[in-house]
Amino acid sequence: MLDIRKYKGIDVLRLPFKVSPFFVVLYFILEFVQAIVPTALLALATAFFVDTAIAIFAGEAVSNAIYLPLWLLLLIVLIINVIGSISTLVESKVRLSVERAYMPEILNVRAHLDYKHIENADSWEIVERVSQGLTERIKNGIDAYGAILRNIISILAVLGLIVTQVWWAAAVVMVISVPLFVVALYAGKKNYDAEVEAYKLERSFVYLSDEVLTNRDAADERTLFGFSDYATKQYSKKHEIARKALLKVSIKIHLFLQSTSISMAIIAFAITFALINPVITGELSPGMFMGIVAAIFGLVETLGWSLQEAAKNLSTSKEFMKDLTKFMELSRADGAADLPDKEPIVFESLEFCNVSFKYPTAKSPILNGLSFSLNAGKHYSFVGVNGAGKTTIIKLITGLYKEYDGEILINGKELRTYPAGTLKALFSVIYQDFARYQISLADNIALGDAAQEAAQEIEEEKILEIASVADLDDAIEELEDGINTPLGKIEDEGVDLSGGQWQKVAIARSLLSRAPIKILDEPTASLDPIAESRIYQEFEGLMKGKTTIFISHRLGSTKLADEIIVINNGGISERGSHDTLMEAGGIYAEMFDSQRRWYE
Amino acid sequence: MSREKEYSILYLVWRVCVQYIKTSKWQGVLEQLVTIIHALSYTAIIAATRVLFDTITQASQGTMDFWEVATPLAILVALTIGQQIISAAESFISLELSAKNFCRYMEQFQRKIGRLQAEHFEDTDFLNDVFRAKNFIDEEELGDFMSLCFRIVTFFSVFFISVSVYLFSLTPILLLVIVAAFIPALLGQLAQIKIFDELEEENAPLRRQNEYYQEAIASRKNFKETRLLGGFRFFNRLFTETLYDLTQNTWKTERKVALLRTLLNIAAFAGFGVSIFMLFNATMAGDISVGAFAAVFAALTQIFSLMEEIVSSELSSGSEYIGQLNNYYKIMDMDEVGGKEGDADYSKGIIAYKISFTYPDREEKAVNKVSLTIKEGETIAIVGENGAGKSTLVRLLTGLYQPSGGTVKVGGLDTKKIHPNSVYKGISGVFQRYQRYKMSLKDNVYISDTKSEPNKEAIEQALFQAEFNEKTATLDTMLSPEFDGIDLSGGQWQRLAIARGLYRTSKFIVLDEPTAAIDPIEEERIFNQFKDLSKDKCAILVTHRLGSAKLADRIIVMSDGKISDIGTHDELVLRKGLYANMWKAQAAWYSR
Repeated sequence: MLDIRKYKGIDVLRLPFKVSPFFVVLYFILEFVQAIVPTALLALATAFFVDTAIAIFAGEAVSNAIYLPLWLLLLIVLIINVIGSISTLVESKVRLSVERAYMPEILNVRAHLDYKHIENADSWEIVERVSQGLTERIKNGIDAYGAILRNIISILAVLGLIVTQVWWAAAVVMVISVPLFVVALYAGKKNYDAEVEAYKLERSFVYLSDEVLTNRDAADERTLFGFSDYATKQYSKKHEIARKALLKVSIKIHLFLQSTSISMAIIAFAITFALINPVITGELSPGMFMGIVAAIFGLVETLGWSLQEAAKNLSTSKEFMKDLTKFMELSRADGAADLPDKEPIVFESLEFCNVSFKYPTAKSPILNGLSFSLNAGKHYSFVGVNGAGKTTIIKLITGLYKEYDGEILINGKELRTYPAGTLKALFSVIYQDFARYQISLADNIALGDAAQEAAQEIEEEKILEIASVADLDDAIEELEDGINTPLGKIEDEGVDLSGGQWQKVAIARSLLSRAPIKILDEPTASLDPIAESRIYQEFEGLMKGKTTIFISHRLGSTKLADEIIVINNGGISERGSHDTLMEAGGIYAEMFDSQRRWYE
Repeated sequence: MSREKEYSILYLVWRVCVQYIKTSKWQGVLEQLVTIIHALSYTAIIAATRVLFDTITQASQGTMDFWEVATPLAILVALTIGQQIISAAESFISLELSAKNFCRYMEQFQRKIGRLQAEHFEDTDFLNDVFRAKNFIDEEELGDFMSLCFRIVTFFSVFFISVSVYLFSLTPILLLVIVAAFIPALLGQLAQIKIFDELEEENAPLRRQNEYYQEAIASRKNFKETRLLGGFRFFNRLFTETLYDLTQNTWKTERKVALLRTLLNIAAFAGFGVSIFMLFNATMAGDISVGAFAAVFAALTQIFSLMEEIVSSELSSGSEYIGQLNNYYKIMDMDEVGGKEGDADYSKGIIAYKISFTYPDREEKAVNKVSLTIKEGETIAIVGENGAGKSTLVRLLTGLYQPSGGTVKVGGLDTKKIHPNSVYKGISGVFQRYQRYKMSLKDNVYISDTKSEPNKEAIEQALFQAEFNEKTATLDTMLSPEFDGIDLSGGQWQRLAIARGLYRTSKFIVLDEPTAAIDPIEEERIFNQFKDLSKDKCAILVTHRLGSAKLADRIIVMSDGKISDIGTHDELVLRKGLYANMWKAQAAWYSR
């Protein structure tokens, strides 16, 4: 339903209309009724009542004649009272339809985005704004159009009453209310712009209060260094700057609005002034006069503000549609949401031929003419200083980035020619910040073989067996519902695991996976030495016969590697067995020695 | 901790009012005065409308001429314009005032947080409370509540009393109009709050799940893993299911509420009807004029909608805020660490005697009866497995945490009895969770010692010593792309954190496991540097890289919250205890 096209302000109506045409139309009909009833109809009923009462007092009518106008008056009041809640209900129906129709679509698009958008601050901001704002913006947009319709109809309805009495007054109102509309809408737009501007200024002081002065992470430094007073002063300074900037605009807006309201009051005055004579000459009944006066002064009260609010909402929804356009235009990756192939291909070799790669926003390339080859069944270790490009290599071979120069060959065939499902089935990665899915333990592990999960439920025994290999028996023992216990705090009965246990879950997931290449991306950085040794050993034992890649700057891990590849400055500076590299006396030897020295 | 306290509603309201007056001063008085005038203007307009309607009735009967009608009309218009101006002035003043007050409340809150003990920040309940209280200020709900308290008096009461007086002066029976408006609105509101509470209770977990499944697919953290695993379908199914349930539930409740609201509106209408009927009777009996009928009738809608506003939006949001307010004052009233001033004498070293510490939401002690003496100028290394209590011990020794049992004396100052400012005066550190402040390079260093004016040379010196060498950054460079500055590499941030620790004048410095994400060459550099920099200071180095512990004069091995061994590296290796085991495990990877 969401196409890739240019979205305009009016789409804020078109999108809900597409999924819930009946209720959108109904909503506007109700707005129409709400515009007519409290103004023109109420004025007529009031006139009817007052004139009848006066007639009765004057002895021109029997006293029973008053009941019809009284009941009419009550009926109109009843309609006014009830229609509001019906309209709210209709609106929430529209909102829910929108949510149900478009949220899954938005998520679907997000899941297919090219990975570069996830790491790019600008596009990520658009993604977040679109997925968080959709329903709210559409609701506000409908509101805005409703309010504008209602205001126009109200004015027309009152004009309709007046035009039968003094035609020129109606003409004056017509002529003047157009610029008033424009001014109110303009003020609303300005107000919106001011808020956008203020938001930018706001971030500077909100940062201090959120991430420096009241949070947990900064608690140690905040307490010991005692900078609360200093940073609070900075906070106030920045707040003051933002406040003053906002004040300037808000004075302007208030003046604008004030002039609209006062002009409205003056017009009202002129009209009623012109209506006095007809009453005296008997052309206009006093009841009609009262009805019109009440209706006009009622309009003065609400018109300026509600139009301004509407204008602000229109501006926001217009901006939102720009975001939506950009969001839909973000490039997507083919097969991004595909399952891995059921049967992974037989892996023979992986080869980088003169591969260069630059992150889209980076100035210089991170990989620069990188070449190496890996063969099935061996253990590899990638080492290098921080920022050397180790993790980038993993992103390339798992197909997250495809804009590299040179060739990456899997079994002699270019990586980019493989379908996404095949690549997914080829690799299993335990990331440094591996996911801690807040679902049951069983599902957490079963995700390691998502292809099977789609076809048939993986047997519980298989999961238990894998969990046991990953040394999770004790953890499962402690869980109330065994492997079916939800993990994390999303569900009420959920249980959180310790960091170490989560790591084992990640390992179990990888064990279940039938991918022939297992990658371990710096999993030990925050572990103590004993835990670190254990993971290396376990992993080695578990992954026998598979091809493994360890990425680490803790050089102890290289002991398990058949071949060590040293990445430096975007290329390979050394490769070979531990002994060869030590003999060569290059970077690796230096790094290794610097670490080994501590253990001599 | 006094956080379990519950305040009475009256006390909270009183306190809020006092705080409002204290912070707003004359501007607050002005705001309230304008509000009173605003409220009175409504009644004045009703009265003026009546006069106009009466004269027009008479005019139609030929007893008044044009100008006699024009005068009350002019008055009415003047009042209407006046009301517009007053209401603009009111909203302008309150906008201005609430922005200023917001800043003051936030300042008070931030300063308060700054004076609380660091250990509270390990308590998730406390963190939740802080988060809530901060939101309460952030969303201007605190300010709203304050102005609501005043508004009820200066706006609603003034309006209803003046209208009542006016109606009473027309004919006493009309006072019932006010009652007829009030009761249905109140009943309606109570019922509605209950229904929405129930909905929220049912929907909150669903919403949490729904949002999470979205995150599992598309958040930055999970994106690449879920994609590689092919987990989209799995999570998407859960997502659509919960979305379906969520919207279904909401719809059901909305329907219920709409039905209820319609019934209530009909009840309100009944009140309205009764009022009209009374007016009607009074008119027919000749107690009030037809003009008065029309004027009061026109005002009725306003009276009813104001009544609904006060009950349904103001009072109900007010009642929601009570809990928040309670929480806010609980935090503002939390005990602070106080104590006498004092000067540390580091020749007395740092002495811990049988200290224990338990984290708020845990049962077992993180540090259990540990005794330890660090001599002047001594460097100590603390090693042990994850969760052995290393970082906790360091926080106790620096006075960041207060021991639940035992005493810590830093340079002769008891951390429990002496004011923290005195204790912290000679202490500096580089923490595991060192901060990357989105500030200028200069401020990133200066922030460790803000009690005196920034010293440019000392800042440069500290950066130099820490070997901070990002060439593109000058002292005034903003270190955050978000604020149009630059970002640093992880390694440079690390060096900057060390520069920060060095800039602060200290006799006692702590380096708490700062090397986790650093490559080996950099790690070695940092450790050697630390050795140089801590030459004549008391120093503590927390690490699980055992080899680095060799730099220290003594090594403390921690296990399960206790000190399991103390000694020099050589002694410990010979003793064949935990340290020797760990050492072997790690060294094995390097012996080939």
